[in-house]
Amino acid sequence: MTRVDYKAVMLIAAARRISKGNEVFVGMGLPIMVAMYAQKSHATHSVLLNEYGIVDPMMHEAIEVADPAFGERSAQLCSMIDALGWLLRRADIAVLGAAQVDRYGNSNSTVIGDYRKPSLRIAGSGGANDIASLARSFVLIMDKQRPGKMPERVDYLTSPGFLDGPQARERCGLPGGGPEAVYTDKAVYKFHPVTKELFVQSLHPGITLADVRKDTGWKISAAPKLLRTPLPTPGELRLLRSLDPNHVYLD
Amino acid sequence: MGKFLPLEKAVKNIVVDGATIAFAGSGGRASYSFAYELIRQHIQHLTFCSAGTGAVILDLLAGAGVVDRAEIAFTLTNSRNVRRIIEGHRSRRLAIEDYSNLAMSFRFMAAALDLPFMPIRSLRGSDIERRRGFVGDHKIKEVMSPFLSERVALVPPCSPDVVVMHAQEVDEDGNVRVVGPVGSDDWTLKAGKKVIITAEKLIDSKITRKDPNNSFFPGIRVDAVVIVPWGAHPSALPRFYRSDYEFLKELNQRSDSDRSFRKWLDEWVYGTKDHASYVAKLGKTRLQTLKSVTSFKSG
Repeated sequence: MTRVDYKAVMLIAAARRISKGNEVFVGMGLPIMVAMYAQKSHATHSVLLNEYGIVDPMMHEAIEVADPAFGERSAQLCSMIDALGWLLRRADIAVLGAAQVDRYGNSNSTVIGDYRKPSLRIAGSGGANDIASLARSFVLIMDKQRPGKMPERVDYLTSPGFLDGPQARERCGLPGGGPEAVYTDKAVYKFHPVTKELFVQSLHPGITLADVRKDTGWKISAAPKLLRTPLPTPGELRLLRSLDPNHVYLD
Repeated sequence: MGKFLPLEKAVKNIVVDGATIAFAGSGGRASYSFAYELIRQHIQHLTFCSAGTGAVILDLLAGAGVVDRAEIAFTLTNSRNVRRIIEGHRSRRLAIEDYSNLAMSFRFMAAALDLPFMPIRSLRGSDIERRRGFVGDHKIKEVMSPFLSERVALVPPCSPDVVVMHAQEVDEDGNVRVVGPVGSDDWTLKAGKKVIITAEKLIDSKITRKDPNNSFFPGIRVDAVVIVPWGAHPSALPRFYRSDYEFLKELNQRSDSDRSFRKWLDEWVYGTKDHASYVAKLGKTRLQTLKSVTSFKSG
């Protein structure tokens, strides 16, 4: 058997969340691949939006995040306030990347370690905090899951998931619906409707529950009927790779 | 044409040590030429403010000792100068106050409209709200809405002393035309106490006035204009040139220690007397390649 391309398993699994005609608000990085792939495979007439005000770009291949070519042949180039303040609130789904995700789906993209004396400065919020606070619903993508990347509590809470648990978002007045799933290169996670805790919904081919539990900072539960994430077909893999000929996001 | 200045004068006359500065420029259009001139003139203690722009410029200016405070939404994972300083816990060389992109945009909007604050529905519950740096107590406040019983966060205005942006075109009255994504460039410019436009090309105002919908920013609110060909290099300038990825990669590699970054500065910034000599150093072949593949080609 050939080696499993776990990044592809993750991206394609996440793309399945996107349906025909969806407005998809995409964060920086891998989320672009997820939304592009969905649009070119099953989610026809879906529309990409991003925080720099790019509305419905006609992208045929992945480009560097900061490259203005991202906005070429788009329907409109509006402002960041239009995008994050207005378009986002009515988009069907948002896709965000994260470096660390915790028990309640809070994510960190700012620092590892103590905020004042960090061992690693990652990036910061960009628009991620706004997207996680305001989107109707969002999913998180986290590549290279390993110990430390799923602690019980993130080192720095850049973007809100369910904060401390049930009702916490409401208490803070966050209008968005919160996260609905986390996709990593090992598994797919969902949130318990009552406790708002992350649980394992589906394991990628060849990954065990014990593998996943080794990475999590708390004893994570699994769905009563634990699923197996489907292996992408050769056709699906071909399409995904064709969207990134310059290896901006894919190895 | 009274606003037209050489780059050296624009920096000398307008930027003072300790000032607050923002670099607008979302779809490329980052005024690297202006940043290089700040470094050449040894400007110090600037506070860098940004709503989604200028992350590489911040890395340059922090590494060169021009900027020592930043009110921003993000750095980059490959911001090596910033990371070396922050991860080395040298907060006197650089202190960061973390906001989000919408929060910084609202702060510029509040300043532009002379409002005391802007309410915002994001930030709440996060460490952006809890953890405070040099802005301290004034970073974010929380109040009850006087209209409905709900709690809202408020962010304060941010009015940079100087806002700089590179544009594709400017006319003799200083009216600005841009191509490509715009992000929060509009509100960043409107928030500035002084606005400086570096532009690739001077055009006739007859062109602007035939198509006023296409004016991005009015010349009446521009304080200084500098015509600088290749003024956004190594960032992209839609319709003119693409990003110089090779140059950015080399800059990044050579930013891996104070010493090697200093050598890069000696070669590319201190070693070039102005932007024209920097461009000459890039060489014709390189410039030709960058021009040949650009986004937003007309026609």
